Amino acid sequence: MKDDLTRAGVSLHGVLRNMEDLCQLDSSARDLISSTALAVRFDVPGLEALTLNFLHGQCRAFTGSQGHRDIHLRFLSPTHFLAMMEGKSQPIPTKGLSKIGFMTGEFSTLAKLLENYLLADGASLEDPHFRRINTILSAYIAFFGLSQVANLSPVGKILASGIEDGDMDIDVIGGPGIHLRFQGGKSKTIKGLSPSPKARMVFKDLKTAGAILLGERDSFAAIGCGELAIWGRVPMIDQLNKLLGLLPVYLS
Amino acid sequence: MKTYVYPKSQALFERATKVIPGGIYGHLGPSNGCFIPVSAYPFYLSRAEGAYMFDIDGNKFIDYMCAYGPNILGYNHPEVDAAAAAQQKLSDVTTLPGSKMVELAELLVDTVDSADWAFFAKNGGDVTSLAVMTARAATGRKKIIKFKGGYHGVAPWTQAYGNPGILQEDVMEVITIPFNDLEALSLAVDANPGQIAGVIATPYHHPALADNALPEEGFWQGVRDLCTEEGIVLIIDDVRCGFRLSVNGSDAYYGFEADLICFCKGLANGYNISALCGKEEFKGAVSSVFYTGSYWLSAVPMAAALKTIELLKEMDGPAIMRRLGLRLTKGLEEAAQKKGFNLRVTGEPSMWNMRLTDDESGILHQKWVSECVRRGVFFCNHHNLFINTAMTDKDIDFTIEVAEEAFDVLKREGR
Repeated sequence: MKDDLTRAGVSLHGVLRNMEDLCQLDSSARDLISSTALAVRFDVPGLEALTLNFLHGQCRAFTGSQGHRDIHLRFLSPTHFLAMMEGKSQPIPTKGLSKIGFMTGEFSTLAKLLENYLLADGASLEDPHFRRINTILSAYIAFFGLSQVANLSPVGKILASGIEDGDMDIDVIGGPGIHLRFQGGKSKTIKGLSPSPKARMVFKDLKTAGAILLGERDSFAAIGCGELAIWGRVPMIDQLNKLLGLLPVYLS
Repeated sequence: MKTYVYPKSQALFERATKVIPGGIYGHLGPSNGCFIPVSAYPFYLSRAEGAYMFDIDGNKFIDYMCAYGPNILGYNHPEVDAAAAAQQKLSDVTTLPGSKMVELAELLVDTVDSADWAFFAKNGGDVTSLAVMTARAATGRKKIIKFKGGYHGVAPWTQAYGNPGILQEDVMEVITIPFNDLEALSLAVDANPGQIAGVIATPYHHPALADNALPEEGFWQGVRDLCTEEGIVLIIDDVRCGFRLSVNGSDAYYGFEADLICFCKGLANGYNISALCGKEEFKGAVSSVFYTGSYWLSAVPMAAALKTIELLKEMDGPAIMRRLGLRLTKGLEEAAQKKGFNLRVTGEPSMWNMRLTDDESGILHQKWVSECVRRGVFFCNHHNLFINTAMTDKDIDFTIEVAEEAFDVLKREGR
C-alpha cells in the first residue's frame, strides 16, 4: 500500500537528493553548473526540507529548514510535490523569483539527465560507464529512500521501531558505502561507513547491489551464493531486509 | 587442524537458486540459518549417523543443531528405524488409521503428567495453532497472550505485523509481554477482562538471537494461579524442550501443570509427527475444532515415536543429555577463559545457548562459530544448540579442542 507522504519522501530525499551524486559522476552535469552559485530549497509539508547547494560544478544536499537558500520552493502537500516530479504541476516559489530561470534552465536539464540515467533502457546500459553511474545513482536512491520508508510509511515505522539503536553499514565493493543510523526507532542515512557498526551488509559488486536493491535479485539466494555478506546483529539486518522489501513499492 | 571447504555444496546451491526460492528456504538455509560467513558452512548432506553428519564434499561434523531438535537419540537409530520399517511393511498413509495411533496416545497419557489425551499432527506449528484454536473454542474468547521472542511456529498469528505477508488483522488479538514478568501478565489480563482465551509460552525462554532465561522462582506458579483464577487456558509449547528436559513434559520438570502441551521435535527421533496433549476438560473443545491433514495419521512416525519414548525412558535420556551438556558447556567456558575470551552460556545444559560477550555486534562470536564449523563442529551463532544421547565424552573432548583452536584463530587475527 503506497502513501503519498512516503512516496514524496523517497522522491525528495532519495531521487532529488541524487543531484549531488549526478554532478559528481557525470561531467556534463558538472559543466552545466560550473559557474552556478545557487541554493535551492524544496519544502514539502510533513517532510524535512531539502536544500541543493549548487556551487561551481558541485552540488551538495542538506536536510533541514535552516541555512542559506536563494530559491525557496514550497508545495501544498506531498501529492503536490509528486505531481511536480511527474511534470504535472508547478511549485510555489516564495523566495528567489529573480533567479527562477535556473529552475527552468540548468536545473531542468539536470533533472532530464538524472531521469535518463534512472530510466535507462537496455541499449544504454550496455555501456559500462553509463551502467556504473546508473547503478550508483540507483543505489543511493535506495539507501536514502530506506530511511524515508523507515520513518514515514506505516509498516516501515513499525519495523524501524523494532530496530535497536546503533549504526548499520551498507557497503558496495567498488561502489558507494553508507551507514544507517538508527536511534529511537528513526533512521538516518549517512554517506561513508560507520566507525563502529553493529551490523554490516556488504555487496560483492555494484551489479549485485543494483539487482538486489531494486528487487530483481533474491537477497536470500544472494547471501547463499556469497554475493551479499552479512555480519553482526542479525535482528538489525533482518528488519532492514524487510524495509528493503518495501522500497520497490515506493519507487514504482 | 585441517579446515573444510565446500565446492560441491556451493555448486549445488547455485543450481538450486534457479528452481527453489532462496536456494534453501527456511531455518536450514544460509540466510535464516545465519551462516556467517557463508563460506564457512556446508549446505547439503550426503548422510547422517548417530551424532554426526557428512556433507556432499566429504566433510564430517559433530552436529550440535540436531536438525534443530528432532535428532534426540542419534541419526538413523537402529531400533527406531527398525520399528518404523516394520510398520512400513504393514501400512503407513491409509484410508483408516493404524492401531499404533491408539498405542501412542496411551503411551503419551501414561508418560506425560498433564496429558489425558493426545491429538497427532506433523509439525510443531500444527499443534501450537491447534492449541490456540482449542483455547478459543473452550473459552469463547479471542485474545492470546504470548511472550516476546517466544517462537511458536510460522502461522500468521505467531508472527509480527510488518513481516511480509502478515496483516494487522492476523495479530490484532495477540498480546505480547516480557517473559518472567508476572506483573506484565497481570496487567494484560486486567486490561482485557474476560477476553483472554489462552497464555502460550515455552517452558523456559529460548528465543533466537538472544540470551536464554530460565523461569524465575515462583513465575510458573504465578502464571498457573492467574490462569486458573481467570479461566485462561495455559498452553505450554514444549516443541523444542519436550523429551529433552523430561519425558514427563517440561511443565512437570518445572513443577507445574499445563492445560495443553505441544510436542514435536524430540517425539520420534526425526520421524515427522507432532502431538497436542491436554487435560480431560479440553477434550471436547479440541474435538470440536475442525483440524486435519493428509498425512497426520500416518502410522510409520507413530511406530517411531513409540520406540523413541520407550528408549528415552529406559536410558533416562534427559539425564544423559544434561550430563553431556554440563560437561560440554563447562569445557567451552573454560576454553574461552583460557584464551582470554568471555563465553556466556544460558538456558538448559542439554539445549544451551552461548555467545561471546567480548563485542557488542556479535561479529566475534560469528567468527568463532564459523572457525569451529570449518573444523568439524557444527555450531550455530543465533540459536540454542542441542545435545543428543548418541554423543560421547570423546565427542565433547574433540569439541573443546576445536573450540580452543578457533579461539586461537581469533587471537591470531587480532580478534
